[in-house]
Amino acid sequence: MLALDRVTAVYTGRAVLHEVSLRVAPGEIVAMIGANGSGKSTTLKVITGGLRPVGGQVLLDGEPLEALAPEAVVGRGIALVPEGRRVFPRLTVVENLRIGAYSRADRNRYREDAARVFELFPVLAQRARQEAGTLSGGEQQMLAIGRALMARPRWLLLDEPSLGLAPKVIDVVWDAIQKINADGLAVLLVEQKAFAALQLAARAYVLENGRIVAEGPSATLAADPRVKQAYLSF
Amino acid sequence: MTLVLFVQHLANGLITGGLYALVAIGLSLIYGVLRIINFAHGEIFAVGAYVGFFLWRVLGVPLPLAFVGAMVGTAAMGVAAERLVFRPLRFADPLNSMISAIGLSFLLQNLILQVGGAEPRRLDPFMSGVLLVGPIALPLQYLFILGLAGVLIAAIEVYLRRAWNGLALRASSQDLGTAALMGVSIDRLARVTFAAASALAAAAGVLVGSVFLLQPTMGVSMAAKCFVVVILGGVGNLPGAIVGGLVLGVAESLAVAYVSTALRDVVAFVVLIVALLFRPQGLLRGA
Ligand SMILES: Nc1ncnc2c1ncn2[C@@H]1O[C@H](COP(=O)(O)OP(=O)(O)OP(=O)(O)O)[C@@H](O)[C@H]1O
Ligand SMILES: [Mg+2]
Repeated sequence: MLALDRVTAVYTGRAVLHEVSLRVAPGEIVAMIGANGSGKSTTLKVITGGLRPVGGQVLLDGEPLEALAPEAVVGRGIALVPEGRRVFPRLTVVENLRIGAYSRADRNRYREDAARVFELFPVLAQRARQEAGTLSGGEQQMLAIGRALMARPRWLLLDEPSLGLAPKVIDVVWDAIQKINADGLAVLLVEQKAFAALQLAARAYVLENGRIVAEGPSATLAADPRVKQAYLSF
Repeated sequence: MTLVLFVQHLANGLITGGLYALVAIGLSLIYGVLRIINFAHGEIFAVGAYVGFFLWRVLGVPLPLAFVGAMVGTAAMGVAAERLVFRPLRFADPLNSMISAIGLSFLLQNLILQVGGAEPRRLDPFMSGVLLVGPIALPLQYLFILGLAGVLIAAIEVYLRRAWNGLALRASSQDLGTAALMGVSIDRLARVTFAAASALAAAAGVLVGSVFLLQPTMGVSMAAKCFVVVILGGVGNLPGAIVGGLVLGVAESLAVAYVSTALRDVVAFVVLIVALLFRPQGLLRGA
């Protein structure tokens, strides 16, 4: 179980997360939706060690995570697909996948995992030797997801994976997330495209100005008039 | 025979160029990964030369072993410098680490002066004899240096392509924050970077000492030229540093031979100005 317990986080004195509590159970897909600047990326940053909360706790199977350095978090089974993909532009596709396996004890067997990523995203196999900077936005998103999978995480955190993608490509990415989840990974999906996220996730949290203002099963939230008005209008 | 002479000068230029490349690669690596402009890198090169000299002359270690010993010892010193001088300033204004690097270079220069003395020193050549190619006589020592520089450069290239930390170095030079998400520890990379850069500089130092002279201030002009080389090649671009080193070495050698010996230390800056005018992105970057 990955859990945030009343996490408060500040940037240079300004609080951007107020007592945020959420949990993601093994094997679950959970969505976190919210408008620009509501604190979604900051929540993920706290989980992955990039920002230390001033209050509350991040717990993984009951053990506190918030004191860990960013490079130690992936070793605990949590991998982040960052906002804006952040693939290494001058590494090839294969090298981007390989660096994803860096934290593993058995990393020399990374080729097997790369083959599985190529099964999930066949287009990446065709681009294997190409520098990641030359890929299209959709291909870069697939690569960023593949790279995160290379660490063999148990929790996959996705920060707005649909950002800037054509609807067809979003379908590909959504299918992949479903398959990944079917393989047993828990997924925390952060999205502005609330409707699409709620279709994929079983449960969801709604974040507004750094506070969780609603939570529950996706179907319930999708029918909630407040949520509908604020997030589902587009 | 003018052609013969020309080839000799070219060979001389390639050798100094190879040595420039060895030192410049380290400078480029340290900047590329850690964004530190290491003004003490020339002195690290000088320390390497003196460690080699000390092992060989004072302790009587055979020259090839002294060469390896200098690389290892200087790598350790580079790691210590990173830990004590640069790590505490990692998150401070870059100006701080720049000034500390200058301080470190003075410290090392004076250390060499105290321990090694002011008089110039000299190492034995690794090899004697010449290779005759028709009318052209190439000293084996020069070929040896060029070959060894080539092997070391190839080794660092292979390391960057194949080794896990080599890959991590390349990833980090592109996006440090995302590399950390992959589990890459910046502390460890800083160690690896300084160790590799210092070992290469030490290798160049010992090789220089086997052809030219060792002097406590030998790092000063080397560093100045290697900054030129790094800019020539495109900052953070390793193949660029290699090509830049060779270009500068050859340009210097030809200018000295055909124009005036007074030009030796001016050529670098003429080349730099011309390069900045016509290829400000570096020799190897796409236009
Ligand atoms: N490094 C930073 N320093 C200071 N303030 C920051 C920093 N990063 C984010 N913020 C602020 O914190 C708030 C939350 O930002 P965050 O990036 O978490 O929002 P988000 O929900 O991910 O938004 P988006 O949908 O645009 O990605 C915003 O007001 C933002 O301006
Ligand atoms: Mg965000």
